[in-house]
Amino acid sequence: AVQPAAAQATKPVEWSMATPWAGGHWLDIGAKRFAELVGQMTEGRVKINVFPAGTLGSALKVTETVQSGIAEVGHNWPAYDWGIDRTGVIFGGWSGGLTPEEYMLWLYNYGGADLWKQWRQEVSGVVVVPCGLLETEIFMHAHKPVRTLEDYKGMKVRTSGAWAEIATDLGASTVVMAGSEVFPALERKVVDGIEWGGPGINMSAGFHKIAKYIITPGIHQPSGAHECMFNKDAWAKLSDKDKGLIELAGKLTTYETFIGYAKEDLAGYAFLKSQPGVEFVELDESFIEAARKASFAWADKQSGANAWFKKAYEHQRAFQASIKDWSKFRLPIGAAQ
Amino acid sequence: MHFLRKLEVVTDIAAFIGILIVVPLILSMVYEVLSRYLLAAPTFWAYELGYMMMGAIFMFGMAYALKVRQHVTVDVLHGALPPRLKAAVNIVGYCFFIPCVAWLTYALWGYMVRAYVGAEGSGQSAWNPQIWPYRAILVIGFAIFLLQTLIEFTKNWIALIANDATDI
Amino acid sequence: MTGLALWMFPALLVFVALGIPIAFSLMSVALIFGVLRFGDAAVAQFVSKVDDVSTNYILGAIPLFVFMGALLERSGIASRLFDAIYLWTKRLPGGLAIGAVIMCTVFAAATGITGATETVVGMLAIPAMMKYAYDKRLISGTICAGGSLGTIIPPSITVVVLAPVADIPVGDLFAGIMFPGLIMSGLFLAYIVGACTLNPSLAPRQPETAEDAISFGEKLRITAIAMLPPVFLIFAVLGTILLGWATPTEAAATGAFGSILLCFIYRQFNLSMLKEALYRTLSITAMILLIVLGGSMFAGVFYASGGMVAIQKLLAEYGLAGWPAIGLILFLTFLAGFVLELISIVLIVIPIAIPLVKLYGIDPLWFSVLFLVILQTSYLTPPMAPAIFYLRAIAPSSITLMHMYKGVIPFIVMQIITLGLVFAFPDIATWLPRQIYGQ
Ligand code: NA
Ligand code: NA
Repeated sequence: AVQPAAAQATKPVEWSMATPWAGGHWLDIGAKRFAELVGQMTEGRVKINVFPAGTLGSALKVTETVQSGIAEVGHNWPAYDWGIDRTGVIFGGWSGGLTPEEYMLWLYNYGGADLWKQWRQEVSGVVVVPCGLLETEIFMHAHKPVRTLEDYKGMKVRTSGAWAEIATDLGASTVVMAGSEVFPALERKVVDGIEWGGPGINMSAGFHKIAKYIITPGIHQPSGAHECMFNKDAWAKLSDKDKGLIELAGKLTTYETFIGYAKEDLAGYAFLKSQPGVEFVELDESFIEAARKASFAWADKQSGANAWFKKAYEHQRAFQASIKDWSKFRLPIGAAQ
Repeated sequence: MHFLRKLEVVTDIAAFIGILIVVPLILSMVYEVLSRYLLAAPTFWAYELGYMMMGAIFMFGMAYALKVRQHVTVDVLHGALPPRLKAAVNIVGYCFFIPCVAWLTYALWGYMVRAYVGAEGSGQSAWNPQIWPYRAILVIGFAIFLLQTLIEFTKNWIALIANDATDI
Repeated sequence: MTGLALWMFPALLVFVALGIPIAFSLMSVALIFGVLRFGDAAVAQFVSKVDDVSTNYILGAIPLFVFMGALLERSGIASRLFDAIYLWTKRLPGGLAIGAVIMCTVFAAATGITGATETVVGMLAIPAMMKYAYDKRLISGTICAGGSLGTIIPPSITVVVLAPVADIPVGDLFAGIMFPGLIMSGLFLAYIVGACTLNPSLAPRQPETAEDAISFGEKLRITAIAMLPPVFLIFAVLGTILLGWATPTEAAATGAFGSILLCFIYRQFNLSMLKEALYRTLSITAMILLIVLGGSMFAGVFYASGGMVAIQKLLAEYGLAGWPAIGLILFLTFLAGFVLELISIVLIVIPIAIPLVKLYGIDPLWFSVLFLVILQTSYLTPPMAPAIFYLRAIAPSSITLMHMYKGVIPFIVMQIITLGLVFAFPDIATWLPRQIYGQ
C-alpha cells in the first residue's frame, strides 16, 4: 500500500542549533543532551550540531535566528523574548510562578505545554518542544544580609527581565549592566547584590569568594523551563514518527535536567555551606509574601495589555489554585532523616 | 566631480550629528555614576541610552570614515599600483561590497518595520523602550554609508575611464 | 559543506592583499560564502550581527577612550606630558617608549576591550616619539605590543567570556593572568632598554643644549605642571573602578569627562580643538567598530557553514592525546587569531579543549592562561594582525605597514618568552589565585 507522505521515513538531516549559552550546564545537560537524545532516538536521521552563544545569531535572540532559518533549531529561555512579548515570562519561569515539581505537572498533565506551543506557533511562527526544567535559583549574593523588605529597600541590585521591574516595585534600585561586568561590579561593590543562577552554577562562578552573604530562597525564580524550537519549514520536512520522537526527547531532557540540576545544586549548596566566611541568610516569610503579591500585581497589569499573557497567566493561576491541597497529603522534600 | 561633492554633503551632515552625540554619551554615563554613588539612585535609562548613543556614533561615522580614508587597508601591494590599476582593483572590491551594504540597508529597513508593527521593546532593561526609533538610526546610517560607497565607486570609475585619479 | 568554510580564509587573504579595506574584505567574503550557504537567509544573520555590535554597551568604551586620547592630543596636553617624561628619561635608552609601555600597562588595567588601550596611548605617545626622531619600527612595535596588554591585564572581556566556558571562577582567572601580564610588560621594557642601548639610533638622544642645564627645581616645576594632572587623570579612571564607583565602561566616560576638565584647567579649551577631537573620535570609532562588525559577520558565516564542525572533526580524527593534542589546539588558536575575533575563538576552542585538558590531568586555569597568551600573540602577529590595523588608523602615514610588520617581531619574541615561562613555571599563573581565593 502507498504510505501517506508524512509517514515516510525522514531523509537524514543535519541541523544547526542556536543557543544563548556560552557554557555551563544549560549548554551541556540542556542543549547538548537534547541534541544527543534526538540523534539516538531517531537513529541518526536528525543530527543536531549545537552552537554556543552568539556564533550563529545574537545570543539572546535565538527565536529570530530560528525564524530566519539561519539555525533550524534553537535552545532558548522564552523569557529572553520579553521585550517582544512578555508571555514568555509565564512559560520561562518568574517570581509568581511554579516550583520544579509543579512545573512538570503543569506542563505535561494540565495543558501548559500545549498552551506554550500554541502561543509560539501563533505569535512567533516556530514549533516548540519544552526541553528543560530550571532549578530554584539563589536569591542573591550580597554584601549585606537581607531578611525583610526593609533590608531590601534602597539596595543596589543587578538583576534582569521581569524581576527587575518587580524588584523596583519592592523598593530596590536595580542597576542594569552587561553580563561581563557583573562579577567585577560585585567584587568592587558597584552593586550591593546580584542574582545569577542556582547553587551549582554560582559555585563555579565563584561569587561566594567576593560577597559574604548568600540569600535564599530564590523567590524571583522558583523554577522555569527551556524550549527547543524548530524553524517551521524545517519541521515540516520531518516524518510524523520523528516529530513524535523529538517530543519524547524533549520530555526526557526535561526529566534529566530536573534530576541533573538538583544533584549539581545539592553538591553546590553543600560546598558553599562548607566555605569559611560565607553566611547563608534566609528571607523572612513576610518578604516572600510581599514579593508574591507584587508579582501578581505586576502580572495583572501586563494582562491588561496582552491577551496571550492574560491567557497563559490565568491558566497558570488556575493550576496553582487547583493544587493547593498537594502539600496536605505529601511529605515535604528531604523530610526523612 | 562637482555633483559628487554635493552628494557628500549628506555624509558631512551625518558626521556632524555623530560628533554631537559624543558629549551626551559622556555626560549621561558620568551622571549615572554620580547618581548611583552619591544618591544611591541609579537611573533607569543610562544603560540603554549608552549603547544607543555608541551605536549612533558608529552608524553616523561609517560614511565619514570612508570619505576621509580612515578604513584601514593593507597597502603593500595596492600602494605600488599605477593609479588606473588601483582604480580597477577598487572597482572590483566595490562590486562585492556595495551589494553587501545595499542588501543590509534593505534588510535593516525590514527589521525596523517589524519592530514598529509589533511595537517591540528593547528587552534589555526594565525601561524597555520601543526599539524601532533606534533601528531607524541603523537604517539611516547604512543608507548614508551606501551613498558614500556609490560616490567612491563613481570616483574610481572616473579615474579608470577619464584617467583622472585626483579623487581616489 | 565543511570544505566550503575553509575556503573563506584564502578568499579573505586575496581581498586584503589587493588593498580592499579590512572591514570591507571581511564583509564581502562573508556575503559571498553566506549566500552560498544560506541563500536569502544570509542577510538575516548579518542583520543580527549589526544588531549585536550596535547594541553592545561594552563597546561604548571605544568612542570614550578614543575621545580622551584625541582631546589630550589636540590640546597639546599629551605633548607636554611626554616632554616632561622626556626631561626625566632622556638619559635612559628609549625613555619615551618606556613611558608609553608603562602608560599602556596602566591603561590596560582600566579597560578590557582590545583596541582601546592601543588607540588612546598611541594617540598620546606617537607624536612625541616622532618628534624625538624615534625609529618608526620601534614606535610601531611599542604601541602594538603595549596595546595588546589590554587583553591580558585584568579587567578583560575575553577573560570574562572564557572563565564560565572553562568552568573557572572569573576572579581566579583574573588573578591568574596578572603576573603573566606584568612579566610581559616587563619584558617589553627590557627589550626596549636593551635594543636602544645596543643601537642608540633607535631612540636618538638630543644633543645637550643650554635648555638642558635647567635646575632641578625648574625640572620639578615643569613636571608638576605638565605631568601630574594627566597622570592624576589616568589614575582617576583606574580609581573609579578600584573604588567601586564605576564599571570599566563608565570609567571610560569619567576619563573622557576628566580630559575636558583638564583642557579647561590648562586653558587650552576652544571649540575648534574640540571639533577636531570629535571628528577624529567619530572616524576612528567607526573604523574600529566596522572591523568588529566585519569580523563577527565573517566568523558567523564560517561557523554556520561548517567551520566549527570541521575544526572539531580535525581534532577528533587525528586521535592525538596528551600534550600533542593540547599543542594542536593551541596552534589552531594561534591560526584562528589571525582573523577571527577573540571572543568567538574562545567560544569555539575552549569547549573542545577543556574536557581534554581535564582528561589529561592538566590544570584548566594554567591552560587558560597559556591560551590567552597565545591569543594575544596572534593578535599581534602579521599579516592579519588587528593590533596593526588599529595602529594604522592613528599613526601618521609616514609610518608604513612594513615598519609595523618589522616592528612587532621583537615584541612577539617577548610574548613567546612569556609563554615559555608560564609553560615551564605554572606557578606564575596559579600562585596568585591560590593566595587570593584559596583552592
Ligand atoms: Na585590561
Ligand atoms: Na595575527
